[in-house]
Amino acid sequence: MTIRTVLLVDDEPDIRRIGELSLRGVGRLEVLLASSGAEAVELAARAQPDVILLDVMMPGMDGPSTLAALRARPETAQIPVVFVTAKVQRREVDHYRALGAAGVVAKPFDPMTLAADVRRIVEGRTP
Amino acid sequence: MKEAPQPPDEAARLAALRRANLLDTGEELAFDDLALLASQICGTPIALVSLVDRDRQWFKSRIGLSVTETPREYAFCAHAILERGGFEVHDALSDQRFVDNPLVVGDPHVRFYAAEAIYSGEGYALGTLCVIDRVPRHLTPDQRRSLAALARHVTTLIRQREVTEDLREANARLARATELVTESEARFRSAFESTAVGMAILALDGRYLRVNPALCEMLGYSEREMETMSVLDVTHPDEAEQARQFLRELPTVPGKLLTFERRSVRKNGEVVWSMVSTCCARDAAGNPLHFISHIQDVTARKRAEAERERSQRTQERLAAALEETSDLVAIVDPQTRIQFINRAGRKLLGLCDRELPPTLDMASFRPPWALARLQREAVPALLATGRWAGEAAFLSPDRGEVHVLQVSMTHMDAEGKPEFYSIIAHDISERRAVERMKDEFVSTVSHELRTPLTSIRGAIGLLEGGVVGALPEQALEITRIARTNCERLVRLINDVLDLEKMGAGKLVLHKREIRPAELVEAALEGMHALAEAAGVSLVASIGVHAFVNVDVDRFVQVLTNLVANAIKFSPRGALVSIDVEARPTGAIRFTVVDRGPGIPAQALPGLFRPFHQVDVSDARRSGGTGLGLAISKGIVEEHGGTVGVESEVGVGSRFWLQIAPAAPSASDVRTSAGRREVLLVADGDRGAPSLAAAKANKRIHLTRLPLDQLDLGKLDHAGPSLIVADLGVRAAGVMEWVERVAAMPRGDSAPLVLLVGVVGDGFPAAFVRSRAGGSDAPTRAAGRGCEGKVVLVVEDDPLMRIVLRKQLESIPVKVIEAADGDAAVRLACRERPDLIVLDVSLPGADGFEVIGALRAAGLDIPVIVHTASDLTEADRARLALGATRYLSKSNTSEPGLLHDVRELLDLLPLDGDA
Repeated sequence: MTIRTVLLVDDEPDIRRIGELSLRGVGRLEVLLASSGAEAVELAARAQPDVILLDVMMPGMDGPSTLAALRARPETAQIPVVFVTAKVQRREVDHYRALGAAGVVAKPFDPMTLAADVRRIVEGRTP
Repeated sequence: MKEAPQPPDEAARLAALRRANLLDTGEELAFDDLALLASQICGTPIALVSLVDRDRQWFKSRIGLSVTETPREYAFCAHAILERGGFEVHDALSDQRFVDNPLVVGDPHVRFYAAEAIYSGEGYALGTLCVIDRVPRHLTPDQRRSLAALARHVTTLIRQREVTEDLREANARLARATELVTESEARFRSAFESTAVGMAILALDGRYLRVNPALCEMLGYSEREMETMSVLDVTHPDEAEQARQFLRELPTVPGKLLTFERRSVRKNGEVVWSMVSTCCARDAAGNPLHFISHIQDVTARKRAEAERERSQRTQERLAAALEETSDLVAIVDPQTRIQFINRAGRKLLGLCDRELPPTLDMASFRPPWALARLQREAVPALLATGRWAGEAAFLSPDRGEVHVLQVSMTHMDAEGKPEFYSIIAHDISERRAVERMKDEFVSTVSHELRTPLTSIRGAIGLLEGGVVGALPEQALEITRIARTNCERLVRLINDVLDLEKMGAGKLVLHKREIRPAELVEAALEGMHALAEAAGVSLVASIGVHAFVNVDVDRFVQVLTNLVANAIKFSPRGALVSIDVEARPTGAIRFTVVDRGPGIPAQALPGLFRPFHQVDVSDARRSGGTGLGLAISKGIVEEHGGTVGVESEVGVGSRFWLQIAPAAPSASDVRTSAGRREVLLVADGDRGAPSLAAAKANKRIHLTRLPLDQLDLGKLDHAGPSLIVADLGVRAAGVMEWVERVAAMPRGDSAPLVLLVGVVGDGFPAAFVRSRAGGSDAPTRAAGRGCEGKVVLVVEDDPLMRIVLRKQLESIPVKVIEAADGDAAVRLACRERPDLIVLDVSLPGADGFEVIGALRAAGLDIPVIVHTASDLTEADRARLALGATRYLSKSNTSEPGLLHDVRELLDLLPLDGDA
């Protein structure tokens, strides 16, 4: 599977912008943006991104709730989700994986490798 | 006929008559004589001593009459006893009272009657002395006086009889009393001698007259000694005055019994407490004779009392303390009914301070989860070990569910059955709330701090990466400063959070058994870039075979921290070594040794404290957070280990940590006789310099093997854990061998391979072939974005070319090779590779010339300059082509190279883009 489109979900506008620049400018990906979990679910259902980059700590629907909502809808159930979080201890990573995330990208992320990290996680997942 | 009226004192008179004991008694001459005299003096045929009973008159003596009694209603005497001073009926037939009296009209045909009353000692008229005739007549005055005298005589007789009777009775009583006294005396004597109670008879001045054996034993004197002593001699000095007072007072109050407690002094000086009862014996006239004393030894009781008092005081104090403590303290019976609960407990449970109903059930004050937990955990523990401590909760009417830390104990009865349970519960709800708040705060802070940092780090990264256009050199330097400081701030936040976790004991360890060598390897893997940048060499020496049971991530963090510190403080060209050895105690010690400036002795003690660095400027210079050692210490201590440091200024420092080895397990099969198996693959007597120490270490079992004899296919689980291949000799088959090493499967069971001597630039270690694989080495799975990319490797050393090719193919990319500069330029122009990995010193055209030629050809390809020599800024500028990275061959690790390759390839535009 080759990733072309990514949906970046974060409540922080600056992080959305930086992420967009990184994913588009460095990673050459088509980038969709959502500022909340609810918006992300709607957008993902409509636009069918190849992968969703999901912030964990968001007001309202947080990352895990959003993931659950995505999994609950048939049209978004199969889209790989990568969490973006400051909590990257093994315990948390195992927890997120157990929830159904493809993997975790640490915050702060390196904008020069973000796209590559995501590709590695998603594409490496299904050998 | 007229019946006589009853005398006014009839009842008392009859009682006196009975007491006189005359009725129905036999004949008595004394009475009969007096009756005879009366009949003769008065010249009557009949004379009687008659006693007037309730219903009859009975004759004690009778002259001239055969009947012994007649009914009282006919009796003349019943009339006569009413008169004092004589009674006379001259002619019954002419007297209306008696005219029809059967005794007058019938036998004995009384016509004349004269009588004088006879009396008891008390003066009651009991009857008469009377004379009777069958013809009427008168007594002469002399006869009358004689009859009265005779009657007085009868009265005297009766009185004498009474006295005699009294005397006889008194004699009988006396005899009985004597008998009793004798018996009592015997009993007393026996009791006196044999009783356990001390007894004494004392003279009025206090001298002992008689003492019993019990008293002698009590006081420690013999009976003989005692009899020469006074009670005052054995009385405790403090009580002597009181004793004297008793001796004075007791005789003055008749019948008084004194009971008091007294201290006596034994012959040996010991003090004896006794309970004394004393009375004064008196003679019949009430004069005091002597004292009789009972003395009971109550020393044991006194001691028990004192003990009880003391223990009661202690108990009272304890009870007061329990009552006042802020923890809940309660005692419940096995049915959990509350037997006692202190003030804090009553307050918590909303109970009034008055007496509680005895059936109040503690269980009714527990939330269901706490009750279930107590049933599940506390009850079995209390029955098995008598003690339980853990978290529980109470339901408070004011505060709802209150969390407590509870300690419970079982208190057994004499038969060993649980009698009651004590509960001490400390309210931790506040602490809980504070902890929750702190957790939330820390979580929030970490999120709030990292969110802007993510933006900053991202923005700087994009600038520095040239995404928005290439930056001039100075701008690049500034963005680099911004980026590194941003990263440092992130590390600082992470470290502070780590330290917070450790302080709160919230660090969760995910332990597994692992070889120390693997930990060292993992730590060194991440350090090569840093070492390279600092121009420092890393050497590891593993001298143990045991496994350790650790949280690998955390432990590697510690080792990394120590190695990073060592690198930071080492001068260029210095060596940093990490040694693992077993201590004599069996503990596994990891030591990181540097040749840095050393640490002054006075700075050593505080070194592991947070934010402690030898020099404040150190932190900034070294880019550290000042928390690394504190965190390392915390982690090691969480593992039950210790950390330490030895240092000498100008020589260097040794930081060490040690932990217990894991219990031996079946997985520990690669050891032979407690030594680590190391296979040294080399020709001749060549040995790797880095193995010099290892060879000296008795714990390493070193096997030498010529290169051509090594069969890699036979390496399995039982094989050596470390293969050191000295490839300094360019022997035939070496390249093939390296290819095979590179192709070996990765995984836990594969050996660690150390290739030495690949580059002859003076640095020993060149390349570690890691056994790590799969998800643990993210760099290896480098994005599929690299797929199909072409990398040109320019390297004159054929061995190095193989190594590089194998590494790069694992990404995977297509590798083309050039052995010299000319071939490189030719291939680059023809194949247009996506990346060039370039050695600088090449036969023919060198690296500089190659870059020059490619520039001239208008190629803008990313380059990784791979060289053993130090490059100046000018060199670097001359070597720059597209995006360019510089790597030192020494200490180049596989991940370091691959990281750069991947990064540079990722920067490339996708096909058809731009």
